[in-house]
Amino acid sequence: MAELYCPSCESRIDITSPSAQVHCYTCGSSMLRSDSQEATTGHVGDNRLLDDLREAFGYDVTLRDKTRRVSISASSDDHAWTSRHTLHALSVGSKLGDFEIIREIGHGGMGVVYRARQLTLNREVALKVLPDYARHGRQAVRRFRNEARAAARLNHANVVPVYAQGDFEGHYFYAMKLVEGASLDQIIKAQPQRLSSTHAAQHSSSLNMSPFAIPQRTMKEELPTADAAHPSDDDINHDAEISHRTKEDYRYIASLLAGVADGLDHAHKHGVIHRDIKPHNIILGDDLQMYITDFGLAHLTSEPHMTLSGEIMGTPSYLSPEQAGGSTSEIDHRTDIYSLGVTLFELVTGERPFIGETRDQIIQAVCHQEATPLRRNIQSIPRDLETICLRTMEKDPQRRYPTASALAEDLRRFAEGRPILSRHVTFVERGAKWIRRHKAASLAMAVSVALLAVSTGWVASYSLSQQREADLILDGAYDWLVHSNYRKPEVVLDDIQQAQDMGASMAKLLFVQSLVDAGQGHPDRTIEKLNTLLDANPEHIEALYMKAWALWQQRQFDQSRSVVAFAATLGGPITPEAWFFRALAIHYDDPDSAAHSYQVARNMAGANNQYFPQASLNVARAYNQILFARRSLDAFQEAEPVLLQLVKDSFYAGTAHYLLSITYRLAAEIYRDTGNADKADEYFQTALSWAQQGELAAPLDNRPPTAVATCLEKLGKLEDAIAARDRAESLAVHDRQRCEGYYYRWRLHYWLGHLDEALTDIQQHAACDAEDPFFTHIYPALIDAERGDLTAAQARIEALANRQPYTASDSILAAAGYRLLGMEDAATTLLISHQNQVSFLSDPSIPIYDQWQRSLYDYCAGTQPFEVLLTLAQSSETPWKFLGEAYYHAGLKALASGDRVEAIKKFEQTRKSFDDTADFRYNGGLVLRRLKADPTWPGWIAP
Amino acid sequence: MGTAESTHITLLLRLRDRSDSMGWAEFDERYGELLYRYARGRGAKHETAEDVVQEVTMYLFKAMEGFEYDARKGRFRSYLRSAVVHALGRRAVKEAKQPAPLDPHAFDFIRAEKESSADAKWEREWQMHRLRWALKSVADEFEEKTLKAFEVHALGGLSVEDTAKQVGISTSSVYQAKSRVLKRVKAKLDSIDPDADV
Repeated sequence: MAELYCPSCESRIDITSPSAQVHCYTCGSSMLRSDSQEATTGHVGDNRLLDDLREAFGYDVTLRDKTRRVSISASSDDHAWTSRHTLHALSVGSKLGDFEIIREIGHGGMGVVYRARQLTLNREVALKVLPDYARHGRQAVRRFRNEARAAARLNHANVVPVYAQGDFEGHYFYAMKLVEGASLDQIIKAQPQRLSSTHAAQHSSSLNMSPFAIPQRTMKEELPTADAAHPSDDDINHDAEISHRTKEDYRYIASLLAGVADGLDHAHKHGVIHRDIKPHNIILGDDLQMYITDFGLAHLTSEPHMTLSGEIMGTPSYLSPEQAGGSTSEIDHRTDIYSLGVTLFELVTGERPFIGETRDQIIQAVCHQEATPLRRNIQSIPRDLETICLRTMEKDPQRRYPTASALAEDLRRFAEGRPILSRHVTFVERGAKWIRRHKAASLAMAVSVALLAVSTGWVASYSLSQQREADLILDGAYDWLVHSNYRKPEVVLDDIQQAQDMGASMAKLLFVQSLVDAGQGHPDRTIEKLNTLLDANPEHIEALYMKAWALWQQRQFDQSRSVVAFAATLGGPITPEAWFFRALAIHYDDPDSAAHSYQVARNMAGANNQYFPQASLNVARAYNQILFARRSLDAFQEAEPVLLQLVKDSFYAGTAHYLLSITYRLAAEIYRDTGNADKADEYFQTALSWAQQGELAAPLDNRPPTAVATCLEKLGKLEDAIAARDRAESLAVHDRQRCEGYYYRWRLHYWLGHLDEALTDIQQHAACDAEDPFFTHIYPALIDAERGDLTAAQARIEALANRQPYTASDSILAAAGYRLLGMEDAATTLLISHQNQVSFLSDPSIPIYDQWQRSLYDYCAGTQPFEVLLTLAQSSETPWKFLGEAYYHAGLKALASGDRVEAIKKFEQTRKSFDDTADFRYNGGLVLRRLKADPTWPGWIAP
Repeated sequence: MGTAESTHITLLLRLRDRSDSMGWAEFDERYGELLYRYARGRGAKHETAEDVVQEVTMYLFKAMEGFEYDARKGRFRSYLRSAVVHALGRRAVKEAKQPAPLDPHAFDFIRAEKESSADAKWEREWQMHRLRWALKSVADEFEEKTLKAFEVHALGGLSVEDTAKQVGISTSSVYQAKSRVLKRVKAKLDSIDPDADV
C-alpha cells in the first residue's frame, strides 16, 4: 500500500479506514483522501506556498521529496539543519575547474568540504564548496565569499591557508591546505589521549622533531596507565583519561592553545574576527601543529554592514555572552578570546562550562551563570591554568585578556613553568575596577588603596603585572595605528584609555598618543608630546621621524629636514615602523626616497610575517606624488601593481580604487600633454572606471565620486561630472569637502552656461574662504560680464582694487580682473598708480618670493618684459611653482588685447605647470576651456 | 492598492530625500535580494550581480530627485526590471561605449510594462519577492521563537522533535508555529492586489 504523509507535520498516516476523511494523529489535521491517494485539502495549497517560500528564502525546494528524518544527535549542535542545504553533493570524480573531487570529508556551517586534487599542481587540497547557489540568497553567497576573503588575507602557521577561490558553473568554492589530523571535538569525544604530553612526545619523536617547550626529563614520568596510553577507539575510559592528566599534560594543552591564540591574534590584527571558535573549528594536525579553520562567520571589521543582523549563528555553548545576548554591536576580538576560553575549559575538564537541556537554557547560562571554577571538580588542575581559563571567560569583555597575544603569552608562561601575568581575581582588583568606574568621586580612596599596596608588597607585584598588561594593550593599539590606519585612531581610543587607567608606562603612552594626535590632524600636539619623550630619550628613532613628519605638516620644512638628518647620524631607521615614519616625513620633499622607505618598511614587516597594508598604500601615494610632480610614467608602472594588490586584498575599501583612479588620471594627463591623445583618452576612461568602482566599493565615501567627476570633466562629459559632484556633496562629512566641491563644480556650471548655479557655488565657496579674491571678486564679476552687465562687473573689480591696505597681490589680481573684462587701460593705470603704495608680503618658505612678486608686479604694470620674469622663474630651484602664475597673467594680457590665439597658447602653458596648490593651472584652465569651446568668446572684447 | 502602494511611495519619497540615508539602506533591504537573484538568474556572476544591485540603487537614488511617481503611468516593478536589465546590459558592453544610465524622467513605461510581463524569470522572481515581503511584514506579529521554529522546521526541513529541541519550545508549538505563520502569510497575500507593487 502506498504511504501517505500528513502534509502539515509530515508524519506517516495510517490509512486503514476506507473513509475519504483521514486524520493525522500526530498533529490533529484532517484531510480528504483522493483516489490518487494524495491529500487534497487546503493543505495542498499550503504545500505549494511552502515550496514557494522555501525558494524565496533560499531553502532547498526538493526537500519534501527526500527523507525528512534528519535528526541532530544529542551531542552535536552543529548546524545540522543548515546542512540541509547541501543535499546535492558533488559526486566523486566530478570536476570543478582545476579541482577533481576525491571524497566528501565534512559539512561546515556553510557548505561542504571535499578532499580534492588540484590538477595543474597535482596536489591534494580541502575544497570547500557552497553548492548550487541558485538556491541560495544573496546573504549566503556574500557570507561565503567573506569567509574565503577573510581567510585568504591571513598568512599564519596556525591558520589553515587558503590557496584559491573561484566561481565555477554555479558553485562558489575555495581551496585550502589539506590538514591531516583531527578536530578538537573529535579528540575530546574519542581520543583524549592525544592531548597528553606522552602522546605528543611519542609522535614528535616519530616525526623526528620536538616542537614543544616541555622539559624532556619529565616526559616519561608519571606515565598514564597503559590502557589510556594506547586505547582503541571504541573503548576509552574518557573520565579516567581526563582525571589522570599530569601537570605535563596540562602544560602541553596550554602550549597547543597558545598556538591557536597566536593564530587568532594574527587574524585580529587583520581586522578579522572568527566569531565561531569552538573545538570543531580547531584541528590538531598530525604534525602536532594547531590549525584554526572555518572562518565561517568571519566578520570583517572593516565592513560593518556585513554583520549578521542580530542573528544567533554560533553553537550556543561556545557563544560569548555578548553574542548570546544578541548584542552584535559589542562583538569584537574579545569574543574569540572568550570562545577559546570555553574550548580550553572543555579540553581541560572534559565538560562544557554551561549546560542545559534546551538551546535557550544554555544561552541563559552563558549570559548569567558564572562558570564553575575548574578545580572544584578536578583538583589536579593547576591553579594558574584555572586563572587563565576563567579570565578568558569573563562575562565582561573588559575583564578578559585584552588581546589574543596577551592570552598566548600567559599560556606559554604556564606551559614553560614561568609565573603567569594574570592574577587570581582578588579584592584588590575588584576594588581597582570599582575605582576606575568612579574615578572622580573616589580619588581619595584610590590614594589610600595605593598606600595599602605599597605597604603590603605583594600587591606591588600585582600592579607590575598589570602594567605589563597595559603595555601589551598599548602595543596592540600602536600596531593597529602604524600598520593599518593612523587616520582612524577612534578605533583604538578605548584601548588606550584602558591602558592609561591600568597604569601603562608613560613613555609608551606618550608615544602612542602622539601618533593619535597626528592621525587626528593635530601635529602641534604630536610635537609637544614627542618633545617630552625625546627630552628623556633623545635617540628614540621612531619618535624622531614621527616628529619630522609632524613638523612637515606644520610647514616647518627646514626643521623637519634637520630632524631627518639628525636621525640619520644616529644610524637611521632600523624597524619597519621607523622606515615608515621616515617615509612620511620626506613624502613630499623626496617622493623617490619615500617610496623606497615605504617599501623597505613593507618588506621588513613581511619577512616577520606581519602585514603592513598602510605601507603599501603609501608606496602608491608616493608614486602618485612622483607622477604628479615629475610627470614620469615610470612611477605609473610602480604605483599600479601595488594598488591593484590592495584592491584585490579588499583593504581600504574604496581608497585603493580612488588612488588607482588618480594614478591613471595623472598618467593620462602626461599622455595628453605629450600629444598622445588616444592613449590619454584610454587612460582617462580607465581612471573613470576605477573611480566608479571605488564608488561601488565605498558608497558612503566622498572621495570616489570626486574622482569620477574629475575624470568625466577631462572626458568632456560636463553634465555627468556635475551629477558626480552632486553625489560627492551629498556624502561630504567635513566643510572642507563641501568647499572643495563648490570650487570644482561652479566652473562646470559656468562652462555649460548655467550662470545661476555657477554664481551660487562661487558664493558658497567665498563663504568657505573669504580670503580668496577670485571667489569674492573676480569670478562674480565674470558672471556679471557673461550676463552683459559690465558696469556691475567693473564695480566688483574696483572694490578689490580699492581694498585697504593696498597689497601687491590684491592689485595684481584686480588688474587680472580688469583684463578679463577687456579693460587693459584700467589694469595698467591701477598698477602704476599703486606702485609706491602697495606692500609686498614675504613668504620665507619660498626663497625668491619677494623678488618674484616685484618682478611680477612690474611685468603686469607693463614696465618689465616677460622674458625677465621667465629667467627669474628658471633661476629658481622649483621653476614650475612660478611659471604657472607668469603664463596666467601673460594669457590675460593677450586676451585683453584681443589676441585669442596668443591667449590660448599662454593658458596652455599654465596647464603644464604644476604649482603645489595648482591655483593657476586651475584659473588658467577655466579661461582656456571657455576660449576653446566658443570662438566668439569673450563677446565683450573686440578681436 | 491601498497600503502596499503607500508604503512603497513613502520609500520613494524618502529615496528622494538624499540626506535620509536610511532610505537607501531600506531600498537595498527590500529590493536587493530581488535584483540580485534576477541578475544571477540571467547568468551574472556574484560580483556583477552585486554591482548591478548597487548601480540600480544608485540610479534610483540619483534619479528620484524631482521624479514624481505616478502609479497610473506604469508599475514600479516594470521600471525596476528595466533598470536592472539596463544595468546588466551596461556590463555586457562594458568595453564598448557605455549607454547612459536610465533616466526615469524620459522613460517609456508602456514598453517596459510589456517587456516586464513577457519576462517569465522576472515575474517568477517578483513572486518570490512578494512572498519575502509578505513573510517579513507579518514577522512582527510573532515571537522570535515562533519565527525561528517556522524557519527551521517549515523552511529548513528539520524534524519537529529536533526543532523543538533546538528552539526550546514544545513539539505542539512547532506545529502551531508552522500553521499560524503560514496562515498569516496567506492572509497577507490575499489582502493585496496581485499586481500591486510591494
